Amino acid sequence: MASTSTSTLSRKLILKSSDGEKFEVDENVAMQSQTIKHMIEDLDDINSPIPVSIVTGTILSKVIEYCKKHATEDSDSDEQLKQWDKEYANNMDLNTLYYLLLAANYMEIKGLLELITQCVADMIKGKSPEEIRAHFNIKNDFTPQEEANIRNENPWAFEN
Amino acid sequence: MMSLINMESTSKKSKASMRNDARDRLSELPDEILVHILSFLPILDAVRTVLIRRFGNLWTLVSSLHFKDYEFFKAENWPGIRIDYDEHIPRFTSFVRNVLMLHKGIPVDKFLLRFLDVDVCDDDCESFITDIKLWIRFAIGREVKELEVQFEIDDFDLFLPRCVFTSQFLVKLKFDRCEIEGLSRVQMGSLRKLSLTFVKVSNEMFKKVIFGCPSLQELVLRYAYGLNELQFTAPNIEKLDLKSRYLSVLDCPNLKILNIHLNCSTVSCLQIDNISSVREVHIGYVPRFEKIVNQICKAEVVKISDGAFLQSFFKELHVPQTRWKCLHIVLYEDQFIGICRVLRSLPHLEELIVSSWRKDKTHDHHMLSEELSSPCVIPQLKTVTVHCCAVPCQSLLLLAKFSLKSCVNLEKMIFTSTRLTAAPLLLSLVRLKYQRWWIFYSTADEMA
Repeated sequence: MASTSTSTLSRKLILKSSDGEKFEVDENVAMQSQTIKHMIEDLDDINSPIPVSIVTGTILSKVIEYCKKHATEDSDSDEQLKQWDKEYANNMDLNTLYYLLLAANYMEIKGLLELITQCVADMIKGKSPEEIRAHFNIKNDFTPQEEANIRNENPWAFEN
Repeated sequence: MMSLINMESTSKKSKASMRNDARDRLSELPDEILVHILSFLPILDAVRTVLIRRFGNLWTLVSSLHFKDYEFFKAENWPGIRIDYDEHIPRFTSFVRNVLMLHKGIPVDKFLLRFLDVDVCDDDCESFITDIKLWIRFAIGREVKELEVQFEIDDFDLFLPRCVFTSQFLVKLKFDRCEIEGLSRVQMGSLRKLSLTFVKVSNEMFKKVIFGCPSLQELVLRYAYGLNELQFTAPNIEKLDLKSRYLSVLDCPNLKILNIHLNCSTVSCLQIDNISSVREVHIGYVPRFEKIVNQICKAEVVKISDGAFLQSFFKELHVPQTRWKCLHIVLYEDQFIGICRVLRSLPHLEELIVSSWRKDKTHDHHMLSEELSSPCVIPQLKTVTVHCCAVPCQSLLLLAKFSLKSCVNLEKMIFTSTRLTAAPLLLSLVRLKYQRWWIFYSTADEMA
């Protein structure tokens, strides 16, 4: 049976990724995910691994890195935490950002989801469609003719 | 053990995932996440993603709609198009109209209209106001949680649509330059923060608004015309940020945090009935400082900016014994005599922060020296922080000396300066002058 003692802070949980990797984390780290929080409530045995079924070990370790940083209420000021967030997001390649977005969305980690979403939005901001396509490797998109048609149909957004 | 295994497999996988970098991951994301990304973009950028096939019309589902004229008219947004400033309003309003016509998302989390650069000429004014009211009604209809409307246009009276005041979804409401009048019913059950700047509202109407917002926690009032009596007992309202020229009555017995700035010349009749529950106060400019100081004895954190010292003559001011624990004072160097008076009435003070600004004219230090010569004891004071400009003034050094003498339990004294070069200079100056004190206190600390 799950223990409901007051020493919840030091309790350890085991998260299991889609490819079977296991991660031991403090409960307060894992609880930043609303999804895991709800799973724990329904869990009979707190010692059994909690499956995070669509997230691979590689990505899960990055998610845990974020949660650990945001779980500790140490001396970091808001400013320092923002700086850490920025560096964390800047170090990811597009592939990792993609999987992190899916993971944060599935695991319902609001802060991480917003961080990565903002990061991707910043990549789109101020870019022309050609630049966006090049940045994200978008192929087989609208032809120049189709694009011109859309522009002409919506002059208020492009010129007037 | 476990972590070792993890590290190994992690490094293998990350190498593998690096290889297929060229995949179009963005297009693989579910609609829900793409809409989320679009909501983080300036609205013009979001709309223009219509030219990317995967995005298509997803922008019409964004949860936040921010219309800012200065963002819209950035030159890089309109390459090859000369921006004609006379056509500002029609272009911007046409854009907003089209966006709202096509937008389908509900609920809208945040709706923001900000006109800071545009000029509205008299001919356009009427239709412009009609448009804005229409957009506000649109936002209310979309169950908006946060609504913000801001103008920089003088002599501009916008009567707020009544539907705003019966919204059950609004959590935050911010208006700049408008008029609130003729409301028969106010019922905003979810509203937590209300912010009104340059708003025309009568005492009676404002009471009605407060009464209709039972969840209100924070109130910001900057230059509300027609409102000269501020009285409410709502227990939820914890924070009041008040700037006013005409206030004559202030009676809010349940407040916790108060920012007050009264720059009026006619407040000799200001009557502060009750703000005694306040725990944290920031006083900007208050012409009759003594009127307020009696009311905030029980506060713990107090910040006083220079204006508060200007007119009060502290030599004659009787400051009652207070419970202040942290005091932050921003002042010019000729106002130091004011704090010295105040310091004598702060037996509970633990932290003192002084930010001082230099005045060009030289002034007489005699009065200050005289004032400081009589001793005083501040037993609890542990930290003194001084922020000063490039060269510290004589008064500041006098004050430093005074606080070193008065604070028997001082643990930390911090100096910061606007210019880095001044900091070591200041520190050495203090060290040289009061070397004995520094040594004395540092040994005392070690012993403790």
